[in-house]
Amino acid sequence: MTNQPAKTETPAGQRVLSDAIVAEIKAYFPRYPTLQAVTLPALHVVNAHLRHVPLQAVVEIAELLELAPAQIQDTLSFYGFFKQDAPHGETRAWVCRSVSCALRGGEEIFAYMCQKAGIEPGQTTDDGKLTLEFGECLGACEFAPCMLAGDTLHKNLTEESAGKFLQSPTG
Amino acid sequence: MAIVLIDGQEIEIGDDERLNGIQVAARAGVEVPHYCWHPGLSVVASCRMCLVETGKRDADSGEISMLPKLVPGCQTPARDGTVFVTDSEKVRQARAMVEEDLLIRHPVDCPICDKAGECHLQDYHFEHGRPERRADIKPFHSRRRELGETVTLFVDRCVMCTRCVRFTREVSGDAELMVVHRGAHEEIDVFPGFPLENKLSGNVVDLCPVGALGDLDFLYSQRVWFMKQHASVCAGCSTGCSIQVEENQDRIHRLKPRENPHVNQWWMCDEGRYGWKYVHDNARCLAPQQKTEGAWQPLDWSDAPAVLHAALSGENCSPENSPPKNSNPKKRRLAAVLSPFLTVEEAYLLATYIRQYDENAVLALGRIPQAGADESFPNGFTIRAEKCPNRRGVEMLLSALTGDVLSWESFLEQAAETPFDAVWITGGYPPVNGNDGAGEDVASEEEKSLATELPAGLASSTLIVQDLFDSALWRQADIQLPSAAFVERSGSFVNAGNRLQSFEWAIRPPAGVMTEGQLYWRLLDRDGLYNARRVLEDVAREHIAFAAASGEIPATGRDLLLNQLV
Repeated sequence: MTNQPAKTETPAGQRVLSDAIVAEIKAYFPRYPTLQAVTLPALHVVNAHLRHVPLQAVVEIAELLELAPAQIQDTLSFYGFFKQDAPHGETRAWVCRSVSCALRGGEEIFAYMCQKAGIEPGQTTDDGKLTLEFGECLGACEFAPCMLAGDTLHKNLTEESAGKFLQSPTG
Repeated sequence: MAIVLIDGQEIEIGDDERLNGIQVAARAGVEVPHYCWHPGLSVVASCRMCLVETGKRDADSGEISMLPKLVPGCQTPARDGTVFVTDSEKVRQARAMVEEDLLIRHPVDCPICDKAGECHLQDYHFEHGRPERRADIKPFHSRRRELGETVTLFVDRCVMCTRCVRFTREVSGDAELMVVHRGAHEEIDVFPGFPLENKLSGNVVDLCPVGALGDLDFLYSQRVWFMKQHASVCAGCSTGCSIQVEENQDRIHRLKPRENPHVNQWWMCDEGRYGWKYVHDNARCLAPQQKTEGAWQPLDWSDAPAVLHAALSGENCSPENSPPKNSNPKKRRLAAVLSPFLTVEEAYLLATYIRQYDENAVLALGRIPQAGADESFPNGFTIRAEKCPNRRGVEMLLSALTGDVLSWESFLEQAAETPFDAVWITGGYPPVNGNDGAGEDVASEEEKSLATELPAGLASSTLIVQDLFDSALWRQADIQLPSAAFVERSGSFVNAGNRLQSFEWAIRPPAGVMTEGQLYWRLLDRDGLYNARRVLEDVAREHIAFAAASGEIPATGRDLLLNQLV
């Protein structure tokens, strides 16, 4: 009995993890004491490349880490960060709704942006450029209301600056 | 020697014992309620039901200093001077709060829940909960999904103790179960396409402290308070798991593992758990019969001693008189085949009976059913390939009686060379197409051929066959005696690890069947009803190999190699 799920051997043609992604995940192996510890880095690698972590990717990660898919899914589903059904937009933006930003009009800005972009919170624009989501505290209360787009922090959001961001959303 | 204080009571524990608050409290006779902790699984301390107060007694001054906050008893090791308080107002409040929290989202559908009556949530709420709840939400969800072939999940009844998840990761090792999502949205689930299908899957139902996991085999078949529990031993393989047979009016409804640290810990396999169905099979042989002039005649059990006497000795005796003992004037060559399904006591009685007629009667070990290879799990639990419960016991008895163990195959060879005058063959084998829990056909080639062909060498003998199901042997017999199933017998099995476990019958055999023990007891003209305990005393006194089996046998059995030089 091993932890390896022997039930499915995915044919190469249906694999969603490319050799490059697999190599990137394997590069983390020497850095951790156990393979299970590579779960989160692996999820991040896959998410960075595919912009979501489909179920098939979970199965393949599990094969790589010699775990059961349930063990990966268990960790994955704990976090709201990893989407599973469809890729998020090229840019993923979180508008903060924690106390400081909420008091400074963060929710109104968010509503304005959603309306401008023509999507509901959490959805992706039709052109696949942008996903808008609520975020919890970004640690930049002094610049409330703020928004994290990709890795870029947008401070002191106004309708004007938000509108400008929507015209060319980049992270 | 470490001394731990439980509610003011001093408890001594051994220096090398590693016990937690719950275990030490149990020694003091105090129950600390808990959901997530289980002695066979890792500690997560997530349910918070076992919160207790703890502190330390200074070794020199004897002064006790308590921690201000409550700690989970399951995670707090008991050391010398550790103090636990389990009955303070603070602890009671904490328990009531945990119960209230769990019940906010619990459907409280006890009337339609299989677990009702043996549910920790029910029991603890009765004992530790508040009489009414303050939240005004009245939820009633009844989401249910199948986790696999054997287990179903009532999602909303779950209290998220994660025992089942830890079991599949730590004990069965296939890790099919997981916790999805987070916080109040947490649920138990399987990964799509990877159902719960390991050979220990049924254990998660026993582990579940509430009614969330249901056994699809047992679901809605009986309310638990109608069933009586009988300690027994599984006859599925030579591991001989300690089990509990739960029946109502002689009908089994389920088998559950019984804790035995020397054999099965807290677990049993699905093969054994669901492998009792043949006991209630309609195809079972129920009527004793004898062949007179080629035609089958029903045999009355009260005539059996005379008929068997005639068959073995070749001498007739009138049914009115009890057959004379030790009379075998024709010096007939006799043999008995002792099935590995017989208990030690039954095998001993039958051997004694046969040897009354022929003191050199050949005694052989019955056929050993084998299926696949031994299968071990990460925690050491083993399902054996040897699908019979008492090979060791019969072997030990045979080597004590004959100095040798004659296998079924060698016995057939011997019979082919010089046929016996009469042969008594015991069986008790489950049906050939036995259900192994997964519905697979596990019958070996030998079993299949035995079902259709009579082994050469037995054709000319007078055959007395005692078995559960029809076979070629059964059909060719001169006297057919229906056999009892393991749950209908009393006696002892010796498992592959030389551990002898005694058990009493759990259900009565179907009408028409006399248990082996009772029949042999009567044939030997012993008084009253078959008493396995008394027979085992005889065996222990007469045979050194069974010396350890004298006196009361503990519920967890006794190691027969105890105090023996081997």
